[in-house]
Amino acid sequence: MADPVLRQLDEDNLFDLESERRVLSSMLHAEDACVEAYNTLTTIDFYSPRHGTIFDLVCSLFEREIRPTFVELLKEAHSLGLLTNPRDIEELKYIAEHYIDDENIKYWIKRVKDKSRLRKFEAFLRHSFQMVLERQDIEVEEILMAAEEELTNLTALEYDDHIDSPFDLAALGYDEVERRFLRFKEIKELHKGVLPLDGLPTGFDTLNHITLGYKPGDLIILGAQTGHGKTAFALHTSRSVSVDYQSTVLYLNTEMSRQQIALRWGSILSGIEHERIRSGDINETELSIILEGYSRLRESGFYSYPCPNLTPEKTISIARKFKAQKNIDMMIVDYVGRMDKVDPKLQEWQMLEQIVKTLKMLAQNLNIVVMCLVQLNPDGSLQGAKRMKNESDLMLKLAPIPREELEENEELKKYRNPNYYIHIDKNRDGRSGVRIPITFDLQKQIMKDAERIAL
Amino acid sequence: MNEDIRIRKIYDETAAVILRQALNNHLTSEEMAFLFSLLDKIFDCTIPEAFLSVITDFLNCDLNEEIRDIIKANMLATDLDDDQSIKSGITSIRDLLSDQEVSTQ
Repeated sequence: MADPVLRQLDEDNLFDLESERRVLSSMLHAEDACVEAYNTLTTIDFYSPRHGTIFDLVCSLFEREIRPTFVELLKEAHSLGLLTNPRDIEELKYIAEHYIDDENIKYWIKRVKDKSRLRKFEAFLRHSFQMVLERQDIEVEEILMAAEEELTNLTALEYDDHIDSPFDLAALGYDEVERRFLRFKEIKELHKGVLPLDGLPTGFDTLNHITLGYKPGDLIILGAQTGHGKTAFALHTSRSVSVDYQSTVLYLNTEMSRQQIALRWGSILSGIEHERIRSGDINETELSIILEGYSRLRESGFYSYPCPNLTPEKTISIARKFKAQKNIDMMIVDYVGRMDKVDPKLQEWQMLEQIVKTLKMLAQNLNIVVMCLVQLNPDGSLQGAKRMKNESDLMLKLAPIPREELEENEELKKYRNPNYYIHIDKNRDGRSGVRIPITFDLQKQIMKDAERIAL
Repeated sequence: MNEDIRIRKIYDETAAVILRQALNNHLTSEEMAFLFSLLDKIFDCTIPEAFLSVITDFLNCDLNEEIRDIIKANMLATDLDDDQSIKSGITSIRDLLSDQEVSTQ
């Protein structure tokens, strides 16, 4: 029996080839558009199989860090034997010539995505209609439940939305407990009681012990006053993760130049005073120590992106690009206070709140650690702190230990040269309210756990 | 048409012409690769002006087939990602062109 209702459906309404061409064209002409489409669309979102193939080719070039220009697309398609006659070239050229204003890419992507969802909905309707026609003995409750499940999956906007069934959750719980049980056994037997990390090393033994490392999906906020070690902390973390641990870090800096960042590394990796390196006041032995430091940096997973006009949008785009191309484990934003406002009407605290929310979402979606640095007020407080705290998994504050406290606090006297505290303001997975004394050598840009004096 | 789109259009059109010529066997794969690379460099503004000027001189010169082939081989051997290779390419092509001018005078 024919389906009179669905027969009336205008097939043309189920696809939008022009939008598909515009998205592909934009991917060939603008990197930001390419990042956006790469992260939002999949091959099956394209109605035209030809368009789907081109999308795959462009994504494959992008993943291999080849800028997917029209020339590269032609070369790739030609080498794969996909272009056999001039008509194929004309078709590609026709697609490439659907130029758009790069800023409108999200609009065109949405159109492609919407049609893709509409096709899935149409398939659902057809399938449901067919079931009613053919299986007249079926339980109504059963049909409705199946339809509801399918429709729920369809209306979930993001492809990565995931609902855990009781089975999934129980299996996950069992795996997690088993993993921890085995790890605990390992700690006792192999590591003699020292906890191995669950995530990336923090660069401080005490902080490692309390947090078990920075974990994928975590947002870490570090607050410090101006001139009190925000960048030093960021680079100390970078060193620990990318040089010592050999994981991959993307470092976004909004206020320093490439030269300044490179020089800081010289000091961090050689232990020679920053000021002397900057002025060139070093001897030949020190020069070779510094060069040896840089050779360690060369072998590391540290990627630096100085970006004076960083916006939340741009941060998302850069993070996605580096996740796709370099598989980053961590991103550090130094620092959010200098990010450009998207909406000039927003108050500073509202903007910070928006940025922090974006960064948390990014950490979870890309399954990376995101650390963002914020500036504390002169009294040590933070504007919009409550909201920021809510979004973060770990909130740290870095501040100098007041002189009176150094003189009077008996506990501090058990350490050699403590001069700063890392205060754990919030820790979703463990103890908070803890202050860790550290030694921060401002001249050498080096931080370490304050050493305990042997009694 | 705004300037940006006009430039993109020229780029796309030129790329399509190159591949079309290759598919019609009017260009070898080596020639195609060289022209694609040259096109990208021109649009990225990363090719020295002197190299473009030597190409223009070559195209405007009335050369015999042998010298034309030698210059072409020189051009194809130039690595457009290597400044040194470009410099020596420019020098040898210029020399070949000036030799030709002398011999025709």
